[in-house]
Amino acid sequence: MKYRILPLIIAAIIFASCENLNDEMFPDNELPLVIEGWIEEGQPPVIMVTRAVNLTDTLLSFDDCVEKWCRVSIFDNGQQHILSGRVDKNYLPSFIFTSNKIKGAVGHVYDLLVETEDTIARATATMLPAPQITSLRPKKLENSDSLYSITAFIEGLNSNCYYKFFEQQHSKETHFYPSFMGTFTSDEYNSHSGFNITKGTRISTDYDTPNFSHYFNANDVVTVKIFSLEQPIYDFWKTYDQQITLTNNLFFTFSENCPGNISGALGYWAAYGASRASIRLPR
Amino acid sequence: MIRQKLFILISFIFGWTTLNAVQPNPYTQQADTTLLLNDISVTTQVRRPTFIVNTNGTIELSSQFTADNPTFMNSADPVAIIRTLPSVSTCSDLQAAFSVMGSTTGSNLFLADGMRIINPFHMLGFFSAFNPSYYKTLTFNASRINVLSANTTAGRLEAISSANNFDKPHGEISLGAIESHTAISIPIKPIKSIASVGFRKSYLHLLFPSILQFGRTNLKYGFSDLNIGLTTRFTPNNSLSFNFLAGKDHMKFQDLNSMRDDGAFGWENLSVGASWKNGKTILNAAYSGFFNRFKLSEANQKINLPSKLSQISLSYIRPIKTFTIEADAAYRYSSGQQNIENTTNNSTDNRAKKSFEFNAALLWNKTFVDKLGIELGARVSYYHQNEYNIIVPQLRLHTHYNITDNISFFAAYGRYVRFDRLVEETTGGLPANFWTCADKTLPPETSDAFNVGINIFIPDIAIHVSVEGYYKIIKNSGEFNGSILNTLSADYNALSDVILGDGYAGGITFLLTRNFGKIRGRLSYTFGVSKLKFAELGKQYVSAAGERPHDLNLTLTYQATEALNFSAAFTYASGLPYTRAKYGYMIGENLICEYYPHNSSRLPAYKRLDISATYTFPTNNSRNHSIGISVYNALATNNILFYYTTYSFNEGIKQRKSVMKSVIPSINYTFKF
Repeated sequence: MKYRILPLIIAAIIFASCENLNDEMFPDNELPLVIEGWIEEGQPPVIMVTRAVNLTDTLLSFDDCVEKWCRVSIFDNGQQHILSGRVDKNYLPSFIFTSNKIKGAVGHVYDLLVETEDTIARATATMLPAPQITSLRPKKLENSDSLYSITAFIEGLNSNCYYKFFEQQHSKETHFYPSFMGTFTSDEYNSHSGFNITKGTRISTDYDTPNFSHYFNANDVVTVKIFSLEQPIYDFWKTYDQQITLTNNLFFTFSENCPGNISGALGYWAAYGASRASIRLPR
Repeated sequence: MIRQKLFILISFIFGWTTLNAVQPNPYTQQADTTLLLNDISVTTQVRRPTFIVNTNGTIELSSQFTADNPTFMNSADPVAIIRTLPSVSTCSDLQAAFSVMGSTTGSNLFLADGMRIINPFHMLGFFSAFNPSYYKTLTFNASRINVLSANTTAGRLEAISSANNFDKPHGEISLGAIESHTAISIPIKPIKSIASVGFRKSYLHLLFPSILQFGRTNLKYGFSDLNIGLTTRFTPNNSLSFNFLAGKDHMKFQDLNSMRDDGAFGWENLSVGASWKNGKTILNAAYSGFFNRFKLSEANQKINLPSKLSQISLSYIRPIKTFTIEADAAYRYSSGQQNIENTTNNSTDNRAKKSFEFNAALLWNKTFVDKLGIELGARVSYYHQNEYNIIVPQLRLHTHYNITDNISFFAAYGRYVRFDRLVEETTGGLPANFWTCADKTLPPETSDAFNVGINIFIPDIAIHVSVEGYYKIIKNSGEFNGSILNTLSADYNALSDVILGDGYAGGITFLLTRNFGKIRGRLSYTFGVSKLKFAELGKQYVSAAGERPHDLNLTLTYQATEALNFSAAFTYASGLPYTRAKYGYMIGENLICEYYPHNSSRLPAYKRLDISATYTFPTNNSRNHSIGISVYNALATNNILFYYTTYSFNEGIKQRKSVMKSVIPSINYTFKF
């Protein structure tokens, strides 16, 4: 008899401990607003407004996630500009808000206001001066005849400042994309070895196929831009770089949220000081 | 009442004519006649216990025991058996981890013949550094570690080679499908010594190249271990031993996309020790080293993270009546970690740390009226690292009370500390993890542990039952909260992303064992929780990385005939905590995820059935051959390693899971002499 109490104790523990860790703490409600927006020095703003997808749902799709019926305003040093929405197939999603009446200028403060039926999102960004790209040099990939990365040399970096490279491979791309692990601080830049630029990953490339390469092809024309960033945008892109690189990796799991700078929405609003340079890679 | 036939054959070696000449009753010998009895050997047909649970909580396993139990690829790896015991969390596939009562891997102490083995796991967790042919006995304590032991805040595991057959050469060779091992001992009679050597090697990818393919990633892996020992027995109670262990792991990490660069990892263990035993007095001296190699590159972004921990230690134990005194000292050198691809001198000297630790302990052990046993110990540790100095007293009280001959109750309290810290930047124990010395910013980990329990032996059916409740208060548990990619920056120091948390671990363990008869086995169950609170992660407690609330292991062996046995081992354990993605959204044409709080979700339960059969060929001498077959994960359960989400034009958003390839058969041949 004295041995029979043990199974009862065990059964009580088992039945008492069944719980789902998530249900009570995180009830599902409306999907968060997502804003990807920037204004670049000398260029009009580009803002894309979408909704996130709940990954706990059974059917997952980005169809119908674009928010077309919202009011997007930018305040340039206090002056309001209401942006108009239009289709631009160079971007994904292809519906953007923009305006030709406003162009980015260094030193200006740009406030973003996005108003939907049920959400108001706000953010502020200041455009900082960008360093200058003094030269671009091709660097051939070892054991390859036709693949290159690009080494950029920069001057005019300010201490304790933040930067990011974007690239456009003209034979394949219609606009600029973040380069692979291209977010850095001025302290991390080595003026002797420069900064190595390769292509980042994105769904519009062959990333998930054996044909994907981070490298540029011989004879390609590549334009490189360097943007100056405020620290919140640096934090966003730094986490972004790590998430897209490690998220599928069994041994180096990374599950940190991208720290956006928008109140009321996910994503970012950035004002980029910019400079650019182009190179044609050797045949 | 089980009837046991006990045949005792007593043979006298070095017989004497005096005994033959006098009357056969030795008890009537005259006092001035001396009988010299040099040696006695006792043989029996009763199975020697190969799995012993002592009243002080120490579990002893023999190599025969591990050979009888199903293990991965019939490797008889002893740590695989230890992982099926209560208090030790089930290890997921590809995880070189060892969690005892909710602790982290780096909180445990591993020893071999008195030498510390800093990392006893080969990569991917399939095998340990303990060659089962070379090490005859394993002792394991999940709790109630007395003050005479080197510092640890979790479990203590020691492998002992036990060279004690000075008569003739003996050994074992085991050949398997992905791993083989051997050990041979040769007596050197002129100097009353035994020389032993052991070797082990794996070749995982030769016959099973697809085992280690996960999505776009392919791994090529192998390891080798070498053991050498020399024991000289001056008298039966006075011996001197020298021991050597060296092991090396190497792995290549290749993306199946041929344009992506490879990674190359590896680590090496090196331990050298000497041990002098005079009765129960023991003097040990040892050097232990662990060296990591970690190289990874993609798109000209390169990471090269070598690191090492070296330790020189000296210990002395001496019993004096009911007391035992112990003193030990250890000097450690930790290289730290830095990406040497971006440094000018290719070294990590500016991250190195040196530390010194001295411990003194006093243990008092007394049994009253053959019923109440008390073990009271005090251990004082002094630790120095650069300008950081600390003294940590550790009091431990272990009691047991024999209610009857077959039932005993125990209760214990102990304070524990450890001064070296493992920084785990990866899941699965890859060589990007590194050891460092505790200091002001990363203080020593401490725990206060309370244990109560009962041991019951039911002689009618030869079943032993052990139930234990435990509760630990943990301080300064460390967790890495950064990213391996941060090491691309030359100035980055991973220690800046180690967050410290306090918490607790508690639970109840249950162990039922039967080691005799045709049907043998054990049932082990643990219910345990392990929670930590980190200031950086909010005010709530989060699940510790190794927490499994339910952990069940059932192993059965059926001795069909003298030569043939069948075994099965079933494991069921709660899934490990993980951080689940809640929302997905597009930024820069990539899928970005927004996550639930840290470790707030749990993977599906882990389930696995292993089966094996071993046939030992009949023989008339001390040599025997056996052949074994085994099937790992016989039910083909897809145990999920982790979840991730992808997005592409063709497939849209997909929730994916990473699993190890399922059923793995194996065959092995063993020759013992």
